[in-house]
Amino acid sequence: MNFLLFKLLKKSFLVIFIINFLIFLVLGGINIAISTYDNYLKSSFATKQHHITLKFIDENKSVNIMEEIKKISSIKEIKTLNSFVQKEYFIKLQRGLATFRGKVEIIGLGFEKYPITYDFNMIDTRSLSDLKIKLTGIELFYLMRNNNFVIFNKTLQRAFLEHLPSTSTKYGLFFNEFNKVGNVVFVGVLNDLRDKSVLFMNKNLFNNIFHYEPNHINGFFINVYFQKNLNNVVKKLKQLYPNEQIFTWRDENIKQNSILIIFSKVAKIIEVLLLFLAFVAIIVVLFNEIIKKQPQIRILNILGIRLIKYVNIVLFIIMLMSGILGVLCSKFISNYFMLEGNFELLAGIVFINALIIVAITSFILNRKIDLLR
Amino acid sequence: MIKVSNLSKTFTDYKGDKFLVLDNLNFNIKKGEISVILGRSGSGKSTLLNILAAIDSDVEGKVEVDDIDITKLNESQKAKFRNNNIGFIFQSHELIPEFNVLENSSIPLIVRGVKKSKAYEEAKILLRELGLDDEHFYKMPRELSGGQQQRVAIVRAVIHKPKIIFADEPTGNLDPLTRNSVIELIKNLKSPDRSIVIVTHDIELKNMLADRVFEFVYRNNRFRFEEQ
Repeated sequence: MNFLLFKLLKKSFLVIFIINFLIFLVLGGINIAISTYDNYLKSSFATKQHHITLKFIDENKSVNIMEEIKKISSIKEIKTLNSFVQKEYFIKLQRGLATFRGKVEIIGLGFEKYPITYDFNMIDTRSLSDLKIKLTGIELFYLMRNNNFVIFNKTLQRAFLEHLPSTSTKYGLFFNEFNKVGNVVFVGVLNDLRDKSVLFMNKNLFNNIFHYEPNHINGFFINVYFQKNLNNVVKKLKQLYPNEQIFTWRDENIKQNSILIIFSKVAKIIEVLLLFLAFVAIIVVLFNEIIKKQPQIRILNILGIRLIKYVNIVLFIIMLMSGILGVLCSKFISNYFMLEGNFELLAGIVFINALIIVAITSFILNRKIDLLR
Repeated sequence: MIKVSNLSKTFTDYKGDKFLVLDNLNFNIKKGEISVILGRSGSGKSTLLNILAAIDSDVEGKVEVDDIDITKLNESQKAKFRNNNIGFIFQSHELIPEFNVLENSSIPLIVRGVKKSKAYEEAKILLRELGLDDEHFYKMPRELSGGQQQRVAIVRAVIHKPKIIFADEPTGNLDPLTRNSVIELIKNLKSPDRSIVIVTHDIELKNMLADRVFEFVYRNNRFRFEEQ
């Protein structure tokens, strides 16, 4: 029998469906935007690795501060992570441009797109570009003094690069010029932020390949083990370098997150307004349609249909279906961007939306339109 | 079949003044009869029809159909009662413009829970019996003539085999030719198990169809309900 009701009110149901669909597309879009921005912040600023950036205003200033900094802070080292693979590798490029034999250590997880272990026999100069090997000045600087290797994941690197322009991407050069035996450590990144793998090498290799000059460094990037030490380290750095710029990850994070918070608040207001407008629009559409269809409803009533029961059922189904479709679409669109919690939140909004509209509409219809009884 | 006892109906106007439309009506309608209720506009005949058909139950007195007092039924029970026992033929056909001929004619069966396909089959048989060709089955009401629409309305009134058929001015909007064919159709609906109640001011309809006639007669500044 529901089909009679559906046929009678199909235009309004269609309009309701479209309204719901559009609303949830918009809501989905807003959520995607927030999630994307949130992810961007997370990829731009290390959330778990607290650090300080020290920038030297005088670019020609000679830097030899490693020992001093080590006295007041801890530099996070690769030794704290577990090795997944530890194996001797022999690398011979297919084109015969370079060979390497030695101990290769792959530590941590790779980016999900890449395997945890690389088959180095398959690597040629072209596929090397996929490894995204990046060497930053601070890495080189530290490696010159230490045979252990610091993890700088991409997020930290990016923050660092803003202040130290000495980054170079050298994969082609590396294998073209290198033809020696030595130790190489391949370091994957702790995959807390889905970062990509970064390749690190020991100081002998760097010296051989890049003829690195540490005096060119004009800034420093320091990992701090615990956030509670941050203020102390900053304080001591300020004592040591009163005329230089010192700022922390926390400052940047707060600054950027405050934008996110404002954005989220505005988005929430927009979402609430949209939902409210949708409620009003749906109820107005439904009422207009029912008022317009009163003669037909009267006839159906005379013929024995208690419409209100079916209005409730069909209304609920339509609301729910349209809402779910809206959520699925937004989920589909935002497949890689949507945070996990947001989906449940949106599904909850859909369900509550459906319930509220049905409750309000049913209440008013029950009270005001005798014909439906 | 229908027993009306001490039936009164009062309306309240917008000022709050009450006025009596039906005053202590007592009559019976028997099985197998065609009863015609005559009366001028405003006499209360449509009000009476609504009460007899379990549409309006805000009344004093009793209306019993097969010993069930329909004025005591709640909305759900009334709807079920109407669907099980009553067929309606309206003055202006009152087909639902969104439904096609088959859908319109089979509404009472679908409401009763009969499968759509089965209801359509029943409707097709009756429509053919009433002279509507298959080509009309999927047309919308607006594509039919007045006579064709009334036939569809008659099929809708009888498809669920009701005990009572109420017809409210069934020939009111029809040209003479169609009118006569509709009168014939109603005559054919007569059966020993079924009562037909027609409300009209058409004297000729009365003459052609009525087994019993009731009339709202205007006397002493008020309408009185009398059996002729």
